[in-house]
Amino acid sequence: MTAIDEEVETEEHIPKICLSIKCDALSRYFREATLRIDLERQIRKLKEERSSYRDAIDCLLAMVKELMSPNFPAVNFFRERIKDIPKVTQAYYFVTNEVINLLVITEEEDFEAEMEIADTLVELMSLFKNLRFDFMIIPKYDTRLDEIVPKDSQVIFSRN
Amino acid sequence: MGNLLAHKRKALHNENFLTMVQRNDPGPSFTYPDWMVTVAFYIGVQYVDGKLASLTPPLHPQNHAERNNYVANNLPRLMARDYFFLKQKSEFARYIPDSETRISDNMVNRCVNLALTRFV
Repeated sequence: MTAIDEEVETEEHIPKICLSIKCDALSRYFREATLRIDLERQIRKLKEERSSYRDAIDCLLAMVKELMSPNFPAVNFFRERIKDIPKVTQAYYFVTNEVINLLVITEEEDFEAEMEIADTLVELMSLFKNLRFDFMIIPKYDTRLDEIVPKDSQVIFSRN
Repeated sequence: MGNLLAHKRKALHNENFLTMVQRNDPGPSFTYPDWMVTVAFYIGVQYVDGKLASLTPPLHPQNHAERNNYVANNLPRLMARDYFFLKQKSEFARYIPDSETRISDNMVNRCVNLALTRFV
């Protein structure tokens, strides 16, 4: 046996089926891997969609709850009045013990603007006699809003 | 709770206290603008409670929210407005940190003037 014959013989002993294009197991493996990656991508996408739908439903339910709330007409009325006072930058409300607490933020101390807000409060309470209100007007200056606005407050109005 | 006269007596008592404070802190730059505004409110609230107590039937509010409602619906609009103004200013003075640096002397004088003239 020559050296060349030995080499040829060795080649015949190495099974090359998995490197062959005709290997069924290998092609199934790649097919399934591709399928798995595709399914994982779909699952990620579905999870993202589910999360965004859940956020949208929460937002919608919050809006419906606000619209159905007996406080809504009063809060809405107050928003319409307060936004016409230029010195008012934000307004919030929170409810404690059935009292609607109104918090009006102004840029700085301003007698006329605060009088105007006080007048709006009289109008609000005259119109919504069955509701109970309390209120505060805060000239903000350089104070951070999170230092003066309670965490459970809802925005009535915010001037951009 | 009390009748008109009882509330007037208390208002005058608070006015005397204000006079004493003004003697010690005459301005024009007030040392305690927050407390001046607060005393002004407590003068005003006694006159307002007196007015509510003299209505038929008499009204005796048990808390601020109830008083707000009675004031808005039973007193003249401008009087209600001035009362709400004083109330919010005194609460700002009492509860907001550094309020004493954010109440001008002019505002103190206006609040005192409102308390002494608008509800009597």
